[in-house]
Amino acid sequence: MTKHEIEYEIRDALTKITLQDVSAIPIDADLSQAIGLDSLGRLELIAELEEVYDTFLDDVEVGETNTIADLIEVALHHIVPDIKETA
Amino acid sequence: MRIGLIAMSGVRVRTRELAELGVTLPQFVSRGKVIASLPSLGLLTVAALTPPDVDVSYIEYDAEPDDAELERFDLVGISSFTARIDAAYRLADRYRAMGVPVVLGGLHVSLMPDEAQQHADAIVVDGAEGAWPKLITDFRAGQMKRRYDGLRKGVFTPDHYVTPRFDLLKGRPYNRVTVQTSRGCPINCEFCAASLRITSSFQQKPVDCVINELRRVTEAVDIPFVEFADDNTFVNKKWGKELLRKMAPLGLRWFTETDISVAEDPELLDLMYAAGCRQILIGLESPTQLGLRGLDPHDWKAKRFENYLTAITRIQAAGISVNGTFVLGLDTQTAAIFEELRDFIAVSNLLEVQLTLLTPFPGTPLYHRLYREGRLLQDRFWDRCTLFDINYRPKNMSVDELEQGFRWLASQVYNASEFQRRKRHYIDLIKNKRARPTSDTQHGLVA
Repeated sequence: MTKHEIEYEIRDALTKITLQDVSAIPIDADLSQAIGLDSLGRLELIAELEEVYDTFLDDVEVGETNTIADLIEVALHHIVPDIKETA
Repeated sequence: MRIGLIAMSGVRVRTRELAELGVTLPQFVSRGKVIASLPSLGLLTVAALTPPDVDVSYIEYDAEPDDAELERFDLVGISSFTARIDAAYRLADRYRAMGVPVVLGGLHVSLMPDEAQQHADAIVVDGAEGAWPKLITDFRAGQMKRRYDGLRKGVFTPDHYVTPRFDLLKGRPYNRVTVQTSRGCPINCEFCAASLRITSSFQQKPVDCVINELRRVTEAVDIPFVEFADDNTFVNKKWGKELLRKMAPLGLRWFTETDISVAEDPELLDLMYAAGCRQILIGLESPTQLGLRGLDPHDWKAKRFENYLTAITRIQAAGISVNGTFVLGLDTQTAAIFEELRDFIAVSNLLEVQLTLLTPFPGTPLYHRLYREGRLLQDRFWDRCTLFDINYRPKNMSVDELEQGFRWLASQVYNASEFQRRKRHYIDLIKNKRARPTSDTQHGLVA
Protein backbone atom coordinates (compact mmCIF):
# COMPACT_ATOMS: atom_id res chain seq x y z
CA MET A 1 0.00 0.00 0.00
CA THR A 2 1.34 3.45 -0.93
CA LYS A 3 0.97 6.82 0.77
CA HIS A 4 -1.40 7.84 -2.01
CA GLU A 5 -3.56 4.82 -1.34
CA ILE A 6 -3.62 5.59 2.38
CA GLU A 7 -4.56 9.19 1.66
CA TYR A 8 -7.36 7.96 -0.61
CA GLU A 9 -8.68 5.66 2.12
CA ILE A 10 -8.58 8.45 4.69
CA ARG A 11 -10.39 10.91 2.39
CA ASP A 12 -12.99 8.25 1.62
CA ALA A 13 -13.56 7.63 5.34
CA LEU A 14 -13.82 11.36 6.06
CA THR A 15 -16.37 11.82 3.28
CA LYS A 16 -18.56 9.04 4.68
CA ILE A 17 -18.36 10.43 8.19
CA THR A 18 -18.71 14.17 7.70
CA LEU A 19 -21.04 13.98 4.68
CA GLN A 20 -18.79 16.65 3.08
CA ASP A 21 -16.84 16.59 -0.17
CA VAL A 22 -13.30 16.03 1.07
CA SER A 23 -11.60 15.57 -2.30
CA ALA A 24 -10.35 19.16 -2.56
CA ILE A 25 -9.38 19.66 1.09
CA PRO A 26 -5.64 20.42 1.34
CA ILE A 27 -3.62 17.74 3.10
CA ASP A 28 -2.60 20.22 5.81
CA ALA A 29 -6.02 21.83 6.34
CA ASP A 30 -7.46 21.83 9.87
CA LEU A 31 -10.19 19.20 9.62
CA SER A 32 -12.33 20.75 12.36
CA GLN A 33 -12.47 24.02 10.44
CA ALA A 34 -12.51 22.64 6.92
CA ILE A 35 -15.08 19.86 7.20
CA GLY A 36 -16.44 20.14 10.74
CA LEU A 37 -14.75 16.99 12.07
CA ASP A 38 -15.71 16.86 15.75
CA SER A 39 -15.06 14.44 18.61
CA LEU A 40 -17.91 12.14 17.57
CA GLY A 41 -16.65 12.17 14.00
CA ARG A 42 -13.20 11.14 15.22
CA LEU A 43 -14.67 8.08 16.92
CA GLU A 44 -16.43 7.17 13.68
CA LEU A 45 -13.15 7.72 11.84
CA ILE A 46 -11.36 5.32 14.16
CA ALA A 47 -14.06 2.70 13.56
CA GLU A 48 -13.78 3.20 9.80
CA LEU A 49 -9.97 3.01 9.71
CA GLU A 50 -9.89 0.01 12.05
CA GLU A 51 -12.25 -1.75 9.66
CA VAL A 52 -10.21 -0.83 6.60
CA TYR A 53 -6.87 -1.80 8.09
CA ASP A 54 -8.09 -4.59 10.40
CA THR A 55 -6.35 -3.19 13.45
CA PHE A 56 -6.93 -1.19 16.64
CA LEU A 57 -6.17 2.50 17.01
CA ASP A 58 -5.58 4.65 20.05
CA ASP A 59 -8.47 7.13 20.27
CA VAL A 60 -6.26 9.60 22.16
CA GLU A 61 -3.72 9.58 19.35
CA VAL A 62 -6.35 10.00 16.63
CA GLY A 63 -8.02 12.65 18.77
CA GLU A 64 -4.85 14.71 18.59
CA THR A 65 -4.72 14.72 14.80
CA ASN A 66 -5.79 17.89 13.00
CA THR A 67 -5.03 17.26 9.35
CA ILE A 68 -5.09 14.57 6.70
CA ALA A 69 -1.29 14.65 6.85
CA ASP A 70 -1.47 13.85 10.59
CA LEU A 71 -3.80 10.93 9.88
CA ILE A 72 -1.45 9.58 7.23
CA GLU A 73 1.31 9.67 9.86
CA VAL A 74 -0.85 7.61 12.23
CA ALA A 75 -1.46 5.14 9.43
CA LEU A 76 2.23 4.96 8.61
CA HIS A 77 3.27 4.28 12.16
CA HIS A 78 0.47 2.14 13.48
CA ILE A 79 -1.54 0.66 10.66
CA VAL A 80 0.77 -0.01 7.76
CA PRO A 81 4.28 -0.66 9.06
CA ASP A 82 5.48 -2.03 5.70
CA ILE A 83 4.64 1.16 3.80
CA LYS A 84 6.20 1.64 0.39
CA GLU A 85 7.93 5.00 0.42
CA THR A 86 7.86 5.18 -3.36
CA ALA A 87 4.63 7.15 -3.60
CA MET B 1 -35.46 52.76 13.47
CA ARG B 2 -32.73 50.59 15.01
CA ILE B 3 -33.28 47.73 17.44
CA GLY B 4 -30.57 45.90 19.35
CA LEU B 5 -31.37 42.31 20.32
CA ILE B 6 -28.96 41.23 23.04
CA ALA B 7 -28.31 37.75 24.46
CA MET B 8 -26.51 37.53 27.82
CA SER B 9 -24.74 34.16 27.85
CA GLY B 10 -21.70 32.75 29.70
CA VAL B 11 -23.07 30.67 32.60
CA ARG B 12 -20.42 29.84 35.24
CA VAL B 13 -20.46 27.38 38.13
CA ARG B 14 -20.38 29.31 41.44
CA THR B 15 -19.22 26.65 43.91
CA ARG B 16 -15.42 26.85 43.80
CA GLU B 17 -14.68 23.13 44.17
CA LEU B 18 -17.12 22.22 41.41
CA ALA B 19 -15.78 24.95 39.14
CA GLU B 20 -12.29 23.47 39.63
CA LEU B 21 -13.66 20.03 38.80
CA GLY B 22 -14.74 21.43 35.44
CA VAL B 23 -11.13 22.36 34.73
CA THR B 24 -9.62 19.05 35.79
CA LEU B 25 -12.35 16.92 34.17
CA PRO B 26 -13.25 18.79 30.97
CA GLN B 27 -16.15 16.47 30.14
CA PHE B 28 -17.84 17.53 33.37
CA VAL B 29 -19.18 20.86 32.11
CA SER B 30 -18.78 20.32 28.38
CA ARG B 31 -22.50 20.18 27.64
CA GLY B 32 -23.08 23.35 29.67
CA LYS B 33 -20.40 25.13 27.68
CA VAL B 34 -21.98 24.05 24.41
CA ILE B 35 -25.36 25.40 25.51
CA ALA B 36 -23.83 28.69 26.60
CA SER B 37 -22.12 29.12 23.22
CA LEU B 38 -25.22 28.53 21.09
CA PRO B 39 -26.85 31.51 19.40
CA SER B 40 -30.12 32.69 20.91
CA LEU B 41 -32.83 31.12 18.76
CA GLY B 42 -35.42 33.17 20.63
CA LEU B 43 -33.84 36.45 19.58
CA LEU B 44 -33.37 35.27 15.97
CA THR B 45 -37.11 34.58 16.01
CA VAL B 46 -37.80 38.03 17.47
CA ALA B 47 -35.69 39.50 14.65
CA ALA B 48 -37.86 37.66 12.13
CA LEU B 49 -41.00 39.02 13.77
CA THR B 50 -39.67 42.57 13.37
CA PRO B 51 -40.95 44.54 10.34
CA PRO B 52 -38.43 44.53 7.48
CA ASP B 53 -37.98 48.31 7.48
CA VAL B 54 -36.46 48.13 10.99
CA ASP B 55 -32.68 47.76 11.26
CA VAL B 56 -31.97 44.83 13.61
CA SER B 57 -28.61 44.04 15.25
CA TYR B 58 -28.02 40.72 17.02
CA ILE B 59 -25.46 40.96 19.84
CA GLU B 60 -24.13 38.42 22.35
CA TYR B 61 -22.30 39.30 25.55
CA ASP B 62 -20.43 36.68 27.52
CA ALA B 63 -19.19 39.22 30.07
CA GLU B 64 -20.91 42.48 30.94
CA PRO B 65 -19.75 45.09 28.40
CA ASP B 66 -17.90 48.34 29.16
CA ASP B 67 -19.77 51.58 28.58
CA ALA B 68 -17.71 52.14 25.43
CA GLU B 69 -19.00 48.85 24.01
CA LEU B 70 -22.66 49.76 24.45
CA GLU B 71 -24.12 50.64 21.09
CA ARG B 72 -27.02 53.12 21.00
CA PHE B 73 -30.35 51.93 19.65
CA ASP B 74 -33.89 53.26 19.52
CA LEU B 75 -35.03 50.14 21.37
CA VAL B 76 -33.22 47.25 23.02
CA GLY B 77 -34.52 43.70 23.59
CA ILE B 78 -32.62 41.52 26.08
CA SER B 79 -32.95 37.81 26.77
CA SER B 80 -30.98 35.50 29.06
CA PHE B 81 -30.85 32.33 31.15
CA THR B 82 -31.87 32.39 34.82
CA ALA B 83 -28.21 32.09 35.84
CA ARG B 84 -27.34 35.27 33.96
CA ILE B 85 -30.55 37.20 34.50
CA ASP B 86 -29.01 39.57 37.05
CA ALA B 87 -26.36 40.55 34.48
CA ALA B 88 -29.18 41.06 31.98
CA TYR B 89 -31.03 43.25 34.50
CA ARG B 90 -27.89 45.35 35.09
CA LEU B 91 -27.47 45.82 31.35
CA ALA B 92 -31.13 46.80 31.05
CA ASP B 93 -30.73 49.33 33.87
CA ARG B 94 -27.71 50.87 32.14
CA TYR B 95 -29.52 51.20 28.82
CA ARG B 96 -32.52 52.76 30.51
CA ALA B 97 -30.20 55.22 32.29
CA MET B 98 -28.93 56.18 28.82
CA GLY B 99 -32.52 56.90 27.79
CA VAL B 100 -32.86 53.78 25.63
CA PRO B 101 -36.13 51.88 26.22
CA VAL B 102 -35.65 48.22 27.12
CA VAL B 103 -37.81 45.15 26.52
CA LEU B 104 -37.03 41.96 28.47
CA GLY B 105 -38.16 38.50 27.39
CA GLY B 106 -37.30 34.81 27.52
CA LEU B 107 -38.08 31.88 29.80
CA HIS B 108 -37.00 33.46 33.08
CA VAL B 109 -38.91 36.65 32.37
CA SER B 110 -41.98 34.58 31.49
CA LEU B 111 -41.76 32.76 34.82
CA MET B 112 -40.85 35.82 36.92
CA PRO B 113 -42.67 38.70 35.18
CA ASP B 114 -43.08 40.96 38.22
CA GLU B 115 -39.37 40.83 38.98
CA ALA B 116 -38.39 41.50 35.35
CA GLN B 117 -40.77 44.40 35.02
CA GLN B 118 -38.69 46.37 37.56
CA HIS B 119 -35.86 46.50 35.02
CA ALA B 120 -37.74 47.05 31.78
CA ASP B 121 -40.01 49.46 29.99
CA ALA B 122 -41.90 46.44 28.68
CA ILE B 123 -41.74 42.68 29.08
CA VAL B 124 -42.75 39.89 26.71
CA VAL B 125 -44.20 36.89 28.48
CA ASP B 126 -44.29 33.41 26.87
CA GLY B 127 -43.36 33.22 23.19
CA ALA B 128 -42.65 36.33 21.12
CA GLU B 129 -45.18 35.15 18.52
CA GLY B 130 -48.33 37.18 18.91
CA ALA B 131 -46.60 39.75 21.13
CA TRP B 132 -43.58 41.29 19.41
CA PRO B 133 -45.29 42.61 16.24
CA LYS B 134 -47.88 44.43 18.38
CA LEU B 135 -45.16 45.78 20.66
CA ILE B 136 -43.31 47.28 17.69
CA THR B 137 -46.50 48.86 16.34
CA ASP B 138 -47.24 50.38 19.75
CA PHE B 139 -43.64 51.53 20.20
CA ARG B 140 -43.71 53.35 16.88
CA ALA B 141 -46.93 55.04 17.92
CA GLY B 142 -45.37 56.06 21.25
CA GLN B 143 -47.80 53.82 23.11
CA MET B 144 -45.70 50.83 24.21
CA LYS B 145 -47.41 49.01 27.10
CA ARG B 146 -45.70 47.49 30.13
CA ARG B 147 -46.50 43.87 29.26
CA TYR B 148 -47.19 41.83 26.13
CA ASP B 149 -48.39 38.23 26.36
CA GLY B 150 -47.32 35.94 23.55
CA LEU B 151 -49.17 32.92 22.29
CA ARG B 152 -49.23 29.75 24.36
CA LYS B 153 -50.67 27.78 21.46
CA GLY B 154 -50.82 28.08 17.69
CA VAL B 155 -47.30 29.51 17.36
CA PHE B 156 -46.56 27.35 14.30
CA THR B 157 -49.73 28.25 12.39
CA PRO B 158 -49.32 30.26 9.19
CA ASP B 159 -50.63 33.44 10.85
CA HIS B 160 -47.86 33.47 13.45
CA TYR B 161 -44.99 31.26 12.32
CA VAL B 162 -41.81 32.96 11.05
CA THR B 163 -38.48 31.54 9.93
CA PRO B 164 -35.83 32.70 12.43
CA ARG B 165 -33.28 35.17 10.99
CA PHE B 166 -30.39 32.70 10.65
CA ASP B 167 -28.87 35.12 8.17
CA LEU B 168 -27.83 37.28 11.15
CA LEU B 169 -25.29 34.58 12.01
CA LYS B 170 -23.36 34.98 8.75
CA GLY B 171 -19.67 35.63 9.27
CA ARG B 172 -19.79 34.63 12.95
CA PRO B 173 -17.77 31.72 14.35
CA TYR B 174 -20.63 29.33 15.07
CA ASN B 175 -20.40 25.66 14.22
CA ARG B 176 -23.46 24.66 16.25
CA VAL B 177 -26.80 26.22 15.42
CA THR B 178 -30.18 25.56 17.00
CA VAL B 179 -33.40 24.84 15.14
CA GLN B 180 -36.67 24.26 16.96
CA THR B 181 -39.12 21.63 15.75
CA SER B 182 -41.47 21.62 18.74
CA ARG B 183 -42.34 23.30 22.02
CA GLY B 184 -43.21 21.49 25.19
CA CYS B 185 -43.01 17.89 26.31
CA PRO B 186 -45.92 15.70 27.40
CA ILE B 187 -43.85 13.95 30.08
CA ASN B 188 -43.76 17.16 32.14
CA CYS B 189 -41.09 16.47 34.78
CA GLU B 190 -41.45 18.49 37.95
CA PHE B 191 -38.03 20.13 37.69
CA CYS B 192 -38.12 20.99 33.98
CA ALA B 193 -37.60 24.66 33.18
CA ALA B 194 -37.63 24.33 29.41
CA SER B 195 -40.13 25.38 26.77
CA LEU B 196 -43.02 23.42 28.28
CA ARG B 197 -43.36 26.30 30.75
CA ILE B 198 -44.35 28.74 27.99
CA THR B 199 -46.71 26.53 26.04
CA SER B 200 -50.16 25.26 26.94
CA SER B 201 -49.66 21.95 25.13
CA PHE B 202 -47.13 20.10 22.99
CA GLN B 203 -46.77 22.00 19.70
CA GLN B 204 -45.03 20.69 16.59
CA LYS B 205 -43.78 22.63 13.60
CA PRO B 206 -44.83 21.50 10.11
CA VAL B 207 -42.10 19.34 8.56
CA ASP B 208 -41.64 21.61 5.55
CA CYS B 209 -41.02 24.59 7.84
CA VAL B 210 -38.25 22.67 9.62
CA ILE B 211 -36.66 21.65 6.31
CA ASN B 212 -36.77 25.25 5.10
CA GLU B 213 -35.09 26.41 8.32
CA LEU B 214 -32.36 23.82 7.94
CA ARG B 215 -31.69 25.10 4.43
CA ARG B 216 -31.47 28.67 5.75
CA VAL B 217 -28.98 27.47 8.39
CA THR B 218 -26.73 25.90 5.77
CA GLU B 219 -26.79 29.15 3.80
CA ALA B 220 -25.75 31.16 6.85
CA VAL B 221 -23.16 28.90 8.51
CA ASP B 222 -20.42 26.78 6.96
CA ILE B 223 -20.76 23.09 7.83
CA PRO B 224 -23.16 23.53 10.74
CA PHE B 225 -23.76 20.88 13.38
CA VAL B 226 -27.46 21.33 14.08
CA GLU B 227 -28.92 21.09 17.56
CA PHE B 228 -32.66 20.76 17.72
CA ALA B 229 -33.75 23.10 20.49
CA ASP B 230 -36.57 20.82 21.55
CA ASP B 231 -37.56 19.34 24.87
CA ASN B 232 -38.52 16.08 23.17
CA THR B 233 -38.27 15.84 19.37
CA PHE B 234 -39.68 12.39 18.66
CA VAL B 235 -42.89 12.39 20.67
CA ASN B 236 -44.79 11.85 17.43
CA LYS B 237 -43.03 9.03 15.60
CA LYS B 238 -45.04 9.38 12.38
CA TRP B 239 -44.18 13.08 12.12
CA GLY B 240 -40.59 12.21 13.02
CA LYS B 241 -40.24 9.72 10.20
CA GLU B 242 -41.61 12.19 7.68
CA LEU B 243 -39.10 14.78 8.89
CA LEU B 244 -36.21 12.32 8.78
CA ARG B 245 -36.95 11.17 5.24
CA LYS B 246 -36.89 14.79 4.08
CA MET B 247 -33.78 15.61 6.10
CA ALA B 248 -31.62 12.79 4.77
CA PRO B 249 -30.73 14.49 1.46
CA LEU B 250 -29.53 17.63 3.27
CA GLY B 251 -26.31 15.92 4.41
CA LEU B 252 -26.35 17.40 7.91
CA ARG B 253 -25.02 15.97 11.17
CA TRP B 254 -27.16 16.79 14.15
CA PHE B 255 -28.05 16.33 17.80
CA THR B 256 -31.34 16.39 19.62
CA GLU B 257 -33.07 15.77 22.92
CA THR B 258 -35.74 13.11 23.08
CA ASP B 259 -36.95 10.29 25.29
CA ILE B 260 -36.04 6.62 25.65
CA SER B 261 -39.03 5.45 23.58
CA VAL B 262 -37.12 5.99 20.32
CA ALA B 263 -35.39 2.68 21.08
CA GLU B 264 -38.72 0.86 20.67
CA ASP B 265 -38.85 1.75 16.97
CA PRO B 266 -35.96 0.26 14.92
CA GLU B 267 -37.20 1.96 11.75
CA LEU B 268 -37.08 5.34 13.47
CA LEU B 269 -33.52 4.69 14.68
CA ASP B 270 -32.36 3.72 11.20
CA LEU B 271 -33.99 6.81 9.73
CA MET B 272 -32.39 9.02 12.38
CA TYR B 273 -28.95 7.67 11.55
CA ALA B 274 -29.49 7.96 7.82
CA ALA B 275 -30.66 11.57 8.28
CA GLY B 276 -27.42 12.46 10.10
CA CYS B 277 -28.36 12.09 13.78
CA ARG B 278 -25.18 11.33 15.66
CA GLN B 279 -26.15 11.98 19.25
CA ILE B 280 -29.29 12.21 21.32
CA LEU B 281 -29.59 13.52 24.84
CA ILE B 282 -31.97 11.56 27.03
CA GLY B 283 -33.02 12.58 30.51
CA LEU B 284 -32.57 9.24 32.26
CA GLU B 285 -32.54 11.11 35.61
CA SER B 286 -31.90 8.25 38.04
CA PRO B 287 -30.47 4.70 37.93
CA THR B 288 -33.27 2.97 39.86
CA GLN B 289 -36.99 2.59 39.31
CA LEU B 290 -37.70 3.87 42.80
CA GLY B 291 -35.61 6.94 42.09
CA LEU B 292 -37.80 7.79 39.11
CA ARG B 293 -41.11 7.57 40.97
CA GLY B 294 -42.96 10.85 41.24
CA LEU B 295 -40.67 12.63 38.81
CA ASP B 296 -43.46 13.17 36.31
CA PRO B 297 -47.24 13.08 36.90
CA HIS B 298 -47.77 9.71 35.20
CA ASP B 299 -44.52 8.00 36.25
CA TRP B 300 -43.76 7.74 32.54
CA LYS B 301 -40.02 7.41 33.17
CA ALA B 302 -40.37 5.01 36.12
CA LYS B 303 -42.48 2.69 33.96
CA ARG B 304 -39.71 2.52 31.35
CA PHE B 305 -36.79 2.00 33.70
CA GLU B 306 -36.67 -1.76 33.15
CA ASN B 307 -35.83 -1.09 29.49
CA TYR B 308 -33.17 1.56 30.10
CA LEU B 309 -30.10 -0.62 29.52
CA THR B 310 -31.52 -2.45 26.50
CA ALA B 311 -32.68 0.82 25.01
CA ILE B 312 -29.29 2.53 25.42
CA THR B 313 -27.55 -0.41 23.76
CA ARG B 314 -30.07 -0.47 20.92
CA ILE B 315 -29.74 3.27 20.21
CA GLN B 316 -25.94 3.28 20.33
CA ALA B 317 -25.78 0.16 18.18
CA ALA B 318 -27.73 2.11 15.56
CA GLY B 319 -24.78 4.54 15.34
CA ILE B 320 -26.36 7.21 17.51
CA SER B 321 -24.46 7.97 20.68
CA VAL B 322 -26.43 8.64 23.83
CA ASN B 323 -25.70 11.50 26.16
CA GLY B 324 -27.44 10.30 29.30
CA THR B 325 -28.35 12.97 31.80
CA PHE B 326 -28.87 12.30 35.49
CA VAL B 327 -30.14 14.43 38.33
CA LEU B 328 -28.51 14.09 41.74
CA GLY B 329 -30.39 15.08 44.87
CA LEU B 330 -33.88 13.86 44.03
CA ASP B 331 -36.11 13.25 47.05
CA THR B 332 -36.12 9.52 46.32
CA GLN B 333 -32.33 9.30 46.43
CA THR B 334 -30.16 8.54 49.47
CA ALA B 335 -26.39 8.74 49.85
CA ALA B 336 -26.25 5.34 48.14
CA ILE B 337 -27.11 7.03 44.85
CA PHE B 338 -23.52 7.88 43.99
CA GLU B 339 -22.27 4.30 43.87
CA GLU B 340 -25.51 3.12 42.26
CA LEU B 341 -25.13 5.64 39.47
CA ARG B 342 -21.45 4.91 38.98
CA ASP B 343 -22.28 1.23 38.53
CA PHE B 344 -25.22 1.93 36.21
CA ILE B 345 -23.13 4.17 33.95
CA ALA B 346 -20.39 1.54 33.80
CA VAL B 347 -22.83 -1.17 32.78
CA SER B 348 -24.78 1.03 30.37
CA ASN B 349 -21.68 2.10 28.40
CA LEU B 350 -23.25 5.48 27.70
CA LEU B 351 -20.80 7.33 25.49
CA GLU B 352 -21.45 10.60 27.24
CA VAL B 353 -22.87 11.41 30.64
CA GLN B 354 -24.16 14.62 32.07
CA LEU B 355 -24.38 14.74 35.85
CA THR B 356 -26.38 17.62 37.26
CA LEU B 357 -27.64 18.69 40.64
CA LEU B 358 -31.36 19.06 41.17
CA THR B 359 -32.03 22.74 40.54
CA PRO B 360 -35.26 24.49 41.54
CA PHE B 361 -35.51 26.97 38.68
CA PRO B 362 -37.91 29.76 39.66
CA GLY B 363 -41.44 29.26 38.43
CA THR B 364 -41.22 25.47 38.15
CA PRO B 365 -43.44 23.11 40.18
CA LEU B 366 -40.27 21.93 41.95
CA TYR B 367 -39.45 25.47 43.05
CA HIS B 368 -42.96 26.03 44.41
CA ARG B 369 -42.93 22.72 46.29
CA LEU B 370 -39.53 23.27 47.89
CA TYR B 371 -40.58 26.81 48.78
CA ARG B 372 -43.71 25.48 50.48
CA GLU B 373 -41.64 22.89 52.34
CA GLY B 374 -39.16 25.54 53.51
CA ARG B 375 -36.24 23.77 51.84
CA LEU B 376 -34.76 26.56 49.71
CA LEU B 377 -31.40 27.68 51.08
CA GLN B 378 -31.84 31.27 49.93
CA ASP B 379 -34.78 33.40 48.84
CA ARG B 380 -33.06 34.39 45.65
CA PHE B 381 -30.28 32.35 44.06
CA TRP B 382 -30.66 32.89 40.33
CA ASP B 383 -26.92 33.11 39.60
CA ARG B 384 -26.57 29.65 41.16
CA CYS B 385 -29.10 28.07 38.76
CA THR B 386 -26.25 26.48 36.82
CA LEU B 387 -27.21 22.80 37.38
CA PHE B 388 -23.95 22.44 39.31
CA ASP B 389 -24.69 24.46 42.46
CA ILE B 390 -26.88 23.36 45.40
CA ASN B 391 -29.73 25.69 46.30
CA TYR B 392 -31.99 23.55 48.50
CA ARG B 393 -31.93 21.10 51.38
CA PRO B 394 -32.00 17.50 50.04
CA LYS B 395 -34.51 15.13 51.66
CA ASN B 396 -32.38 12.07 52.40
CA MET B 397 -28.87 13.47 52.74
CA SER B 398 -27.17 16.65 53.86
CA VAL B 399 -26.07 19.44 51.54
CA ASP B 400 -22.48 18.47 52.25
CA GLU B 401 -23.11 14.80 51.47
CA LEU B 402 -24.70 15.75 48.16
CA GLU B 403 -21.85 18.05 47.22
CA GLN B 404 -19.10 15.62 48.26
CA GLY B 405 -20.89 12.68 46.63
CA PHE B 406 -21.36 14.62 43.44
CA ARG B 407 -17.66 15.47 43.27
CA TRP B 408 -16.69 11.87 43.95
CA LEU B 409 -19.07 10.60 41.27
CA ALA B 410 -17.77 13.12 38.74
CA SER B 411 -14.23 11.91 39.36
CA GLN B 412 -15.36 8.31 38.76
CA VAL B 413 -17.40 8.99 35.63
CA TYR B 414 -15.29 11.60 33.88
CA ASN B 415 -11.76 10.33 34.51
CA ALA B 416 -9.73 9.66 31.39
CA SER B 417 -9.56 5.87 31.61
CA GLU B 418 -13.29 5.43 32.23
CA PHE B 419 -14.16 7.77 29.35
CA GLN B 420 -11.69 5.94 27.14
CA ARG B 421 -13.35 2.62 28.03
CA ARG B 422 -16.77 3.97 27.02
CA LYS B 423 -15.34 5.39 23.79
CA ARG B 424 -13.81 2.01 22.90
CA HIS B 425 -17.16 0.32 23.50
CA TYR B 426 -18.86 2.83 21.21
CA ILE B 427 -16.23 2.41 18.49
CA ASP B 428 -16.83 -1.33 18.56
CA LEU B 429 -20.58 -0.78 18.29
CA ILE B 430 -20.09 1.39 15.21
CA LYS B 431 -17.88 -1.25 13.66
CA ASN B 432 -20.57 -3.85 14.25
CA LYS B 433 -23.11 -1.55 12.64
CA ARG B 434 -20.91 -1.14 9.59
CA ALA B 435 -20.75 -4.90 9.31
CA ARG B 436 -24.55 -5.04 9.00
CA PRO B 437 -25.60 -1.84 7.17
CA THR B 438 -29.26 -0.89 7.03
CA SER B 439 -30.96 -0.95 3.68
CA ASP B 440 -32.06 2.61 2.93
CA THR B 441 -34.61 1.26 0.49
CA GLN B 442 -36.22 -0.59 3.37
CA HIS B 443 -37.27 2.68 5.03
CA GLY B 444 -38.14 4.67 1.95
CA LEU B 445 -34.97 6.75 1.72
CA VAL B 446 -34.15 5.64 -1.81
CA ALA B 447 -36.75 5.53 -4.56
